[in-house]
Amino acid sequence: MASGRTSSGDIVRFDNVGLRYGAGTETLSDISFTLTRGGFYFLAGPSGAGKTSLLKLLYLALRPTRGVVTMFGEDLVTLPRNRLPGFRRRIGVVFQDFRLIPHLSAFDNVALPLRIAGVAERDLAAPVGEMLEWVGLGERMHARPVTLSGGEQQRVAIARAVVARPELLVADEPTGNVDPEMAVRLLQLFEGLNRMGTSVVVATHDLHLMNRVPGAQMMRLAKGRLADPTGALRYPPASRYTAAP
Amino acid sequence: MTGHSNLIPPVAPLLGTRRLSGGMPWVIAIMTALAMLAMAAALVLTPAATALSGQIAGRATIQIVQPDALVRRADVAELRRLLAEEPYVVAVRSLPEEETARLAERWLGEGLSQSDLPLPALIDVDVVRSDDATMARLGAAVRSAVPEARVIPHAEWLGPVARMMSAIGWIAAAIAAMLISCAAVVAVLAVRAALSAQRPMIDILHLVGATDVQVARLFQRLVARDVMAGAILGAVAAVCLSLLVVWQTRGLVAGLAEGAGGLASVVWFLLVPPLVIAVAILASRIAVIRALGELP
Repeated sequence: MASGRTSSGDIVRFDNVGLRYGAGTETLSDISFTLTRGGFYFLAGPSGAGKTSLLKLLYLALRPTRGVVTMFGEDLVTLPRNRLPGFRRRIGVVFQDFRLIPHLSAFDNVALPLRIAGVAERDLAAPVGEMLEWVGLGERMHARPVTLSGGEQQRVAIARAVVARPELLVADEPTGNVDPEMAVRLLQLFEGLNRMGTSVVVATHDLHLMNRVPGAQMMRLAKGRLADPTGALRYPPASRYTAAP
Repeated sequence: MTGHSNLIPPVAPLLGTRRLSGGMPWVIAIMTALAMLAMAAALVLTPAATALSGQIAGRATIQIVQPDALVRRADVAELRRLLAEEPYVVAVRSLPEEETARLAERWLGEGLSQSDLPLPALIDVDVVRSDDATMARLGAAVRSAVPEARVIPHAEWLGPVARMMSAIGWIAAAIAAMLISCAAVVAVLAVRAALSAQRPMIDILHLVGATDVQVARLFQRLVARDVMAGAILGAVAAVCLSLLVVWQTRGLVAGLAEGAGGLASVVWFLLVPPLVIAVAILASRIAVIRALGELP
């Protein structure tokens, strides 16, 4: 069982997880891996390999049809639905298509997770402003997404994903809609966040991007199965970065 | 931090719209107005029927068909004397001949005299109890003195009218209840359509940790705004229509309203719009929570 092997440094553990949509064949089969606290992971694989499905399991948009998923020390397969929001607040998500709310300003988009968590209006300005400064958009906090470039929108999305200081950041092709220069800049933001102790999982096709993070671990999916010939994904060595106690 | 913020950004509404759907307030307005009018009918007719039943329950009319006016007058006097001594009789009132003639004029025209067409003498009697035994005792007493006299209990001919009024009143109340339910159904259909249209937004809210209750509250606000606008509009229309009807038929309505519940009826009448609002909001909230519960 997963719980028997989960160490305090593990943030996510999948054991023989399978995912099936409706009555079709399994999209993901026998997926087993462990994400350590403060780890940086790239999820790679051809189109249709199941990367997005695996990420959906990670950011709790789906639950597996079999297997065990342990996250932050709790079994999420049997977790009551009404407890999921509490776990989702510990995870930041970045999408290729940004998924910003078009009628809200950059400030309000970034403030959304904090408002949902119940942060008072008077306490929003500092963390949201700081986050927008961090992604280089301090001057554009009142702009609507439609007036921002693709790179700027993605930075707002990243700011929204990390403003509540998540323990896990999941990014689905975050650089897919931005130019190479901006892609490198976005990756630097992820690395910065990772240095602060957040575990990061980035799904990408971009090999150059993967090579820019030397210590990152590769997760390769093919036909719904995770390649792990050495067993390092299932039973990882200690993380490069250890979170502060 | 608390788990249930109000989720309302100060700059713009989170769902990007202040309205649920264009037509809903109008539909709610029409339903509220119809429900209030139906309720008004129920509130007037049902107590009026009850009052009428109460009035006719212990009352009978004695009819003396006697062509000879002198004998007829003697029979009336004899019956009045006899009934005054009966312990179960509360009151006796004989209808003056002039009044009987006036009543007959409506059907037979003016200018008739007792010699042309002898009219029956009529005596109204109130008895203590309206049961069959009392009426039978009354009939026996009357026939013993004047064999050709007929006792007609009022319940025999006004009873069906009272029952019909009561039935119409209850049907009106049922129609009011159904219209209130329909308003709830309209709100549920509108909120389901809104849920479908706002699905991408709901996904984003869920991903950043919103609870179903928080998301439901957003939709509930939209429903509340539209339903309240419609209910107020409908209430104003219903009150105006009711006042117009009361003014135009003030004699009839005043007579019917005598048995109505007064202030209690007004309260029930004015309670319809808040009831529409409450039922619609509650139904839409349940619909939203259920729909959200089906999401992963």
